[in-house]
Amino acid sequence: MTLPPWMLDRSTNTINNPPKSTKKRNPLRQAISSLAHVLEEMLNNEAIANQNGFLQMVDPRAKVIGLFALIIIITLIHNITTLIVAFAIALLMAGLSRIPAQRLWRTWLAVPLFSTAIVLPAMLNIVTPGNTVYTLYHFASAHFGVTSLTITDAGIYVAIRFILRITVCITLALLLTATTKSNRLFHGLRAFGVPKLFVMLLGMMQRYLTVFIRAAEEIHLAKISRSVTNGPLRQEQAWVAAGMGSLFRRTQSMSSAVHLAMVSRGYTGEIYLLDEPKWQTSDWGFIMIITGFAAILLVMG
Amino acid sequence: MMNKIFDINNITFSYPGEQPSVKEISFAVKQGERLALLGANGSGKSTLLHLLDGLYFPQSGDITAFDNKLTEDTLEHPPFGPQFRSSVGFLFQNSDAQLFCSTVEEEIAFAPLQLQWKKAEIVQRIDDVLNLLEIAHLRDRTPQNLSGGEKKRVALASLLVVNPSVLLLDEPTAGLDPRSQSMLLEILEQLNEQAGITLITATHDLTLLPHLADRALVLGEDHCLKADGNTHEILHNTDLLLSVNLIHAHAHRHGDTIHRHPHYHITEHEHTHGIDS
Repeated sequence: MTLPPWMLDRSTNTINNPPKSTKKRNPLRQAISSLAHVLEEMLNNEAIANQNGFLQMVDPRAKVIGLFALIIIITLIHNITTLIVAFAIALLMAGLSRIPAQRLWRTWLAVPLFSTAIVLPAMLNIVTPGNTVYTLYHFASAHFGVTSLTITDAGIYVAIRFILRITVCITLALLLTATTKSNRLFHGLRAFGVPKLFVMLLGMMQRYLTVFIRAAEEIHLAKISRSVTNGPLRQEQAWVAAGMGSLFRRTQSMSSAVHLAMVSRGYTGEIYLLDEPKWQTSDWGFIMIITGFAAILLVMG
Repeated sequence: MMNKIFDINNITFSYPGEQPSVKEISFAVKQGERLALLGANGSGKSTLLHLLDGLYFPQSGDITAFDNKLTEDTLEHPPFGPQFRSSVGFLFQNSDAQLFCSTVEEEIAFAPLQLQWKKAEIVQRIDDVLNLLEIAHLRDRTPQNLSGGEKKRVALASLLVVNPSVLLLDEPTAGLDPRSQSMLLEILEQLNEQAGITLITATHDLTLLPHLADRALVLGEDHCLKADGNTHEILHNTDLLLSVNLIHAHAHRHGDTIHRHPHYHITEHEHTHGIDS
């Protein structure tokens, strides 16, 4: 084997039109790193679900029924004090289930994302009439009987109640997902009559999601390792299309291999799953506790 | 005398629109044998394993397994179909393809559940194979979080739970670290010696061959069978191994002398310095 002369030259490669340094992040990189973050989040969830805590001891079916019922009751409550009590109950369960405070904070940060667009107009006098707390704008003349745009006390009350309600509901949803392994959560759905095949498909989807997120990340990292700079938009688009195609081929090949592996182990089109264990006293105890909480919240109004 | 469990008679198989991957191959496998399918990449070893497991079917020739013709029709009907599936286990090269369930326990339970065994027996068997392969601590883990060696052991457990009499192993040690490799080889050796399980292994790794097989079939790059003999003879047949691209001649240096000879590190080999310097 004879190496070509340029391969023997160890001086630094010259780069034509070297790229200007830029602080702008590539949206694709952000999307891929977000996917990787989701993967990490899923793995972290399992770490919490494996801990020895209050909700971890409860059967997923009891948790799905209990916490889902609590979420419905929260949506019916109009009193802020009652919502604060509900929030305290949710925090108590989170503490007993050893959910890290950081995990809760990260979840609560999502609340403004969902609520801001709804809450901001609700604070205004044109949506929620009430006593003026702060005047935002005076119109030159009255429009539909309104002379100024103001934030009202009733509007602030509605906004606080809404944000509090969303926060409690999201916290309860987190309690369910963080303290339950995803496969057990899917099995819990069978309590609502979800077919076995659907439960199995959900499990497989979650199983291979992580495999393909890793594959997408590998494709992306392989590209980064050979890139000096972002190319023109068309070139980047072509690369994304090629990456998607490659990933699609991998998914096809994997799905075919998975099917063969299933057939090899006796799969004939009918799905049989392990039975979920029977409910324990602790599961009934959990339902009683949730019923107690629900009664308190309903009495408080 | 050992029973014949597979009889492969002049089979040819092609993937749609492609040249044959397996061409006019015939051989037989007896119960308790340790057989290796040797060949370079793309020689048709994996395809041959898929054919032996009744996942693909030859376009010409036929395969007899446990005295029954292996066809789509026979596999779809009991009692042969379920019996064959419980008698033959296939360890795929890609463990991610094999481990498709959400937890290790569900993975191991999959085959006996499909065979509609009693739940109590399934639970007992799961306990037994988990302990046998020393993976009881992985029971509730999700397969994606396991190491390569752990995945391989879980995949093997998912086959052993139905107590197969044949294991088809597709590059079983590929991608494993040395400790996981030796652990797997030890388990396979015990399964063959103590339980009489027939091992049919596709590999191109000559270093592991003596640990995996007593007999080897050599597939050429033209997808035909080139040799069928005992492992020791095959490993010492340098011309054969060179012709099927399982070893290669390369130059290397001993002091000031560079020389060239067929190269592999499985058996002792003698050579004269200065041949090609």
